[in-house]
Amino acid sequence: MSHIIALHEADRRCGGKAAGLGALSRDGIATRRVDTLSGSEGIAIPPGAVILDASRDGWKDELLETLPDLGPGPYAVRSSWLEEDGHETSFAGQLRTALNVDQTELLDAVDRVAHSLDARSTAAYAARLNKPSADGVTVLVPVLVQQMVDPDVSGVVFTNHPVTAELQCVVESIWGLGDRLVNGSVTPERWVIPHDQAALDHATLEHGLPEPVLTAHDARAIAGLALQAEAASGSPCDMEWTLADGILWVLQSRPLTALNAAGRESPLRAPLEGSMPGVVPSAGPSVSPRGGEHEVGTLLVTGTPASPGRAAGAVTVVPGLDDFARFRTGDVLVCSTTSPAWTPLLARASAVITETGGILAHAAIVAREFGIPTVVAAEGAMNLLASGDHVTVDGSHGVVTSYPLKESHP
Amino acid sequence: MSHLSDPSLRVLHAVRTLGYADTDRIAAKAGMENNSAAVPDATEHLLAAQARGWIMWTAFAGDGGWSLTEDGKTHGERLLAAELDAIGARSGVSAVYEDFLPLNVLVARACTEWQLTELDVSTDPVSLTATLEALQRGAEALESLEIRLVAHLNRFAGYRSRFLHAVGQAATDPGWITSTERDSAHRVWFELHEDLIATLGLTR
Repeated sequence: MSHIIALHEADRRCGGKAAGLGALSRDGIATRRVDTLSGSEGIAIPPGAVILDASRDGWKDELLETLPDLGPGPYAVRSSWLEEDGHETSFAGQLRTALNVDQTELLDAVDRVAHSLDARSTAAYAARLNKPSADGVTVLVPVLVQQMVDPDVSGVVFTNHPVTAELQCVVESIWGLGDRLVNGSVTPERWVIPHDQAALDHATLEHGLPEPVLTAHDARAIAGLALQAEAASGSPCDMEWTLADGILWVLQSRPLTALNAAGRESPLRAPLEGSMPGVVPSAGPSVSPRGGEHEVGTLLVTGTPASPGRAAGAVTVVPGLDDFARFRTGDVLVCSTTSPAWTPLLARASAVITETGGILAHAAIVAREFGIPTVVAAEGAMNLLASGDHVTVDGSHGVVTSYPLKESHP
Repeated sequence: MSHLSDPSLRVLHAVRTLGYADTDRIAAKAGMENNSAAVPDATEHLLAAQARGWIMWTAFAGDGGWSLTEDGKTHGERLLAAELDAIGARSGVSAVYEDFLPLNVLVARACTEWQLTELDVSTDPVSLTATLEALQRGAEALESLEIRLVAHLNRFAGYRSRFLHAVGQAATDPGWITSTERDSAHRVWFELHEDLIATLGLTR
């Protein structure tokens, strides 16, 4: 029996990652030439080989024979085990990946990744394969080996908005490698393309970067690719891609589930009314009927919900360490990002709004510790909001509005 | 050979990484609890740094602490950069930082998922056991990073043992995961992150 499966033939026994890419490849979606991307020569999946079970003899020779089909290396060695296959989450996935592996290290790297399941996932995996999950049984995961792609741009695309679940494609991208996209150290460029307009030349830049990453054209092409994958698989998808030398490489494609979405930007459930200091009663998400007045207030800025609840207060914009004295207890802290020095301010704030970061940012963790509503990645907040403005911060939905008791902004 | 920074830099850098702390915590962080009479103690270094506008003392509701000014941050980064290049450790520490980033995601996510579960707003609640397992994995990986860091710079010693202590305590008191009032897992981790960022002169 063969121990190695070519990526384009991969099915479920090869693990979720390889199976997803194999399906894309067989559907012909990610292997065609296109001219929609600016300067692009096509869409491709890096050729790959899946080692089904590294505990069986013979896989090493077979892999070495396959290598010429993959490319000269260095290689990316990844577990093909996706979180929806079990309980592992994607951050653990990063630990189960070896990048830039050259030929001399390849067999060792495959062996290590194959043994990367922890005990809990081993049990889940064994159960799925209808194997007895007795203690001490070693279960190896399928391992995907591919030629390494050195990215100019990396990103993800969701065919449904991961926060609002609206029918729109969201394309997030950054320069270089994609790992910083999820660790909160950078805020990605974000394009939003409604499904019904995907066929038209229509894309909205929801969050730009000083150095633009994608053109509207590129974003639309990537969204189009993801929508084709969705149509082929029958479910919304979450795709990781990379642009290198004008080629759009698809690195991963999987069904978009609540679990996946929660791993990135989770919409926090309804606010915890009254359970937090400074929380005001919810006035509902839309306009009050009374006299047609905007009782809820005007939308000022939006971002990623990071700590739940609603609170109202006066804004103090704090650009840096020398401006701490401006801040008064109960203020809404508006800043770019925070370091440990900011903890005393967060302790006294009624709410926090930061321009950068994600739900995993240290600022978000500290703010949740203090139980104060927080919105992160609120682009332009330091310019859009001024010290003294009275605002309501909805940390469950990532929305900042003018406080209704004060006259609305024009 | 592990390098021990100059005392005045140790004190200034302790203010940077702790963010906001009283003199005792800074002295302990700077490794200056047991001074000989010949060494000016941490208080003198702090007062000297204050006089030069590098740090400030603020008090909130009876509780006071030292924190950095922008000048102090700039000055500290200059000293740290000079030290890093003088001992030839820039590429070594940069490599550790790259390995740190995925771990940072692991730890931040474990803290986040636990908090969201405790706040009852999680779409996918996690157990304390799973959270501690993830943090434990972070601690295990931190061990080799710390060894690599300490080979260059002595001040990186101790993060792992403090982190492990917090994770151990959290089994009976989950407050040790993210509390800001004690040496919790997240506080130690946040401090290490700040230390690396400061040492390499990066922005968050």
